[in-house]
Amino acid sequence: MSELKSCFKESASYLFLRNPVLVLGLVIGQLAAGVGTLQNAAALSITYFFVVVPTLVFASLFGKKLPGWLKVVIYALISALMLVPSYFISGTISATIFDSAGIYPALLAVSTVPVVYSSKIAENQKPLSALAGGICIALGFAFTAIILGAAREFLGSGSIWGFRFAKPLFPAAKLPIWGFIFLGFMAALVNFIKDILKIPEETPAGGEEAK
Amino acid sequence: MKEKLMFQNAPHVRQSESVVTMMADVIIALLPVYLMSFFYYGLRAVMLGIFGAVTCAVLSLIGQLLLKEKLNFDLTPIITGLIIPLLMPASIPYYVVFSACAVAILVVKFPFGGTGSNLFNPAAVGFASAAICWPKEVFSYPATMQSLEVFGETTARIAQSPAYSLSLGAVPDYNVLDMLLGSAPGPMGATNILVVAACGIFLIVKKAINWLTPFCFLVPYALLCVLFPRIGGSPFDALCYELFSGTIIFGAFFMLTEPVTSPKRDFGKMLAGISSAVVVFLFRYFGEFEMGFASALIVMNVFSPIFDAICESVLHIYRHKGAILASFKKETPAETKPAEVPAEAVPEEEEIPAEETSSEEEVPEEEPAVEIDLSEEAEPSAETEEEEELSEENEEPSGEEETV
Amino acid sequence: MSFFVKGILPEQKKEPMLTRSTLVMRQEFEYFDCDFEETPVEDLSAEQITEIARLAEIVDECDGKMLWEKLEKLNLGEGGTLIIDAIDDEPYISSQMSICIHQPEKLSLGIELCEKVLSPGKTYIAMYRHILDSNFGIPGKIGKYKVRKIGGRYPAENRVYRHIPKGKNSVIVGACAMLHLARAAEESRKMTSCFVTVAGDVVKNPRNVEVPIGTTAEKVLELCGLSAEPETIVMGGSMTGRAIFEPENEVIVPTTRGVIALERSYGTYSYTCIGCGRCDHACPKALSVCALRKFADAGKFEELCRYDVNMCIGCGACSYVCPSRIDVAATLIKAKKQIELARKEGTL
Repeated sequence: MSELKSCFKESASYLFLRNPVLVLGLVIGQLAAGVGTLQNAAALSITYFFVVVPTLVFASLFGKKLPGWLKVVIYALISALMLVPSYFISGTISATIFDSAGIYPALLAVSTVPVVYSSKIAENQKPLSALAGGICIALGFAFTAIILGAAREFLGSGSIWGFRFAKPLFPAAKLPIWGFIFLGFMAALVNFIKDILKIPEETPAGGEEAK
Repeated sequence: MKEKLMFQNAPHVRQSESVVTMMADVIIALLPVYLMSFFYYGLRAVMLGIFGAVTCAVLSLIGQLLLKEKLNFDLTPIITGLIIPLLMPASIPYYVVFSACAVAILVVKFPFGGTGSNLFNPAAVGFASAAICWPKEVFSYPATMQSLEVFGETTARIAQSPAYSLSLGAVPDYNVLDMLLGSAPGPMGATNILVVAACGIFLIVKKAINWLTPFCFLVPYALLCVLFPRIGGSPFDALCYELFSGTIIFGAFFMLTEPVTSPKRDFGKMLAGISSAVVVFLFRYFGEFEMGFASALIVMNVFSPIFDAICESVLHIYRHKGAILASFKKETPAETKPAEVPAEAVPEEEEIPAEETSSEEEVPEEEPAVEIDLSEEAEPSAETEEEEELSEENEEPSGEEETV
Repeated sequence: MSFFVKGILPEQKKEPMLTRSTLVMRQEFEYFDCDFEETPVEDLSAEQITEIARLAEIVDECDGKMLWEKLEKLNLGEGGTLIIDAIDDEPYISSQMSICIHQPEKLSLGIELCEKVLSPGKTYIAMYRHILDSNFGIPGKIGKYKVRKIGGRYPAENRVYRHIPKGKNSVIVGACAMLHLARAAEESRKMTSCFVTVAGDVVKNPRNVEVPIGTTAEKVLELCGLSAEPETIVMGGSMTGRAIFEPENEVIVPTTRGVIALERSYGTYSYTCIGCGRCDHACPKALSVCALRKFADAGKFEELCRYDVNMCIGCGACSYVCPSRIDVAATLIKAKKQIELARKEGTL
């Protein structure tokens, strides 16, 4: 039981203390450039959820039975297949949101977590902890994406979720470069909070499993 | 006598110039430019400058507090705050200046470590971001010689700036004298070419900036303008219009020379000047916005560490030329005469590889010195300063004991 | 076009020490005994001169070695060069120059004796020429010896070697050592004193002083008088000397070239580096000082070696020009020492 507890505790750290974007530095490019509005952020978060969770669970169930050279291909294939349901679900937000996001959902499908993390770490985990880890990684991503999207949308066009209620404060926030700059400031903020809470530097995700 | 004694490191005499005097010189040089814009646009121009300077100073204090540094009232943010309004029209709303200053200080300067560590020119990035956000406000210039309202929205007559006419391929309807004196509309600090150039020369004379940077920027730029004119007419007209429109002269003296983001050595400064001339020209020739100079400057800032690295690698060869020459001289005889090596040369030949492997970085002590002497007997014509330095370097360590 | 420009041009501030005659501090002379005491100076043989130098315990003030060791080992022969070091390129310091100007007869006698031992093909006195802030003229000849005026910028001492014919031998001896040799030969006097420049902006009566070895810095300063309390007292040159805290305990040794009292110190004045690159241009060895200082602060030893920190001669030109008043030279010298230590231990 304590094993389960520690597994959940470790997974939960992906939400903030080991946030996949702000602390571990994964999928920065896709997030910074792709998330311009809150709707965009929601669509990309849904996509990431669908891409990550099934791949990780699949990896923990069948990963050890697959030959080494085939693993990565299969994981990438599964995560790419998962773009199809995410297309329909994010379509409920707005019909064109998935298309307007351009290449970024597809880039998410072949990013680090579904392709590398699954074969390095999730394979050695139990399905339940892989599931929990996947969900928390996706939620951590969603947390960052939604804050970033809301901030950029509000500053750039004075609206939230498409509802316009103010004059744009800083129109340049719509440009992709400001995605990177905001992301940098958010990462600095996380470090600042970690400093205040006096949380020691943790080993990166790969470090613990390697022992 | 003993109580007051303080510790200090070796050179006990120092140059009287300091960062404070350098920056104060730049600020003094910016004041006449403000005076001219006061003359053309009224009190609003001066208020914009004061607003920008105060904003930047306050924001930099906040930045220093966030970095938990010791509070340090250096003058660099004030210069940034004074330059930003000068790149904009006098009718610019105050919030645009504020946002440009905020970007310059809080995004460009302090996240990278404050004064002396910024990667990009803060004023250029601040201006560029303001220009992207509010292109209508930033690029609509009021006509000169009208007093603008000090606060609030302005109701000035808008005139077409020469830079905009040039970008459309039209000849500006101002003569060259107008543009020299600054009565053509444009950015409020950059149109008074004569005043700006005089201030730049003041800075060069005071040694606050290096003359090479503006020189190596303006001359190739002028050359490019003559070679590829955007407008018809005589090359001289094209040259004058291209040089005197936009922020070319102002930027060359006040922005390109910013010490933090420009290369360190003169050779690097030359390279940077020439390449920025090319990039600015390309931006202005093909670009749609009038902010060609700021954009080009941001691009070129990225390259200045590379120019420094080029200088360092050239100088590395220069410093080690003794060893390099010696290694060349040693390799060639070994190849040409493999069998009949004289008896006394044999131990020398054996020693060389051993020394080379043992101390790669060391200054060559005894053996290379002998070799260099041979080389100089072979080619006695090249008696330049460098040649002499070479002998000095090699003889220095052995000095007195050499004769034994 | 200062791609290769090296060094700095500091204000030399050698006046009025240079034009005033040397002050002699009251002292008791010591004499030595030898069996050729009665021989006239002109008839002394080379071995006897070396013996005199040994008995008189003459120390060469430019490198701290014993003069007789130099004389014994060397025989320059035809084509060799004997250089009398009277360069004094550091601001304030003028002790060797003033000897050349005020005691030329004794000096040329010393050089003559030295020539007899070393038998060089050429002899000259080297002096620094660029004293821009005074209209003092350096004589073209001292006694019968030619004066080579060394021009250029501050670290000029290395540049003396430039005038040596290629592939030939040379030796450098200090001017004060020559003076002491002449005295020893004439009067059998031991070297019990040395020449120091006492100067600085709070010294009332700046002079070149001949003081007994072992005098404290405090006494020397008392002799010349202080107009205000100094914040810094420097033993040695103004560019390379060290600041001292206990002037009553610091004694003067033969290699001490000056005692300088300054009203202000720069110890507490420092801004961050703004990357102006002046240090790069000032470096006489063409090092990338700005980058080196950053590496030294970060402790990157490999980078430091790649950028040739071991070529630093510690002249202090970079610190002199730095507008942020950063102790660049001190940082680099420290890093250089650390690297040498690491090399010895084999960790680098």
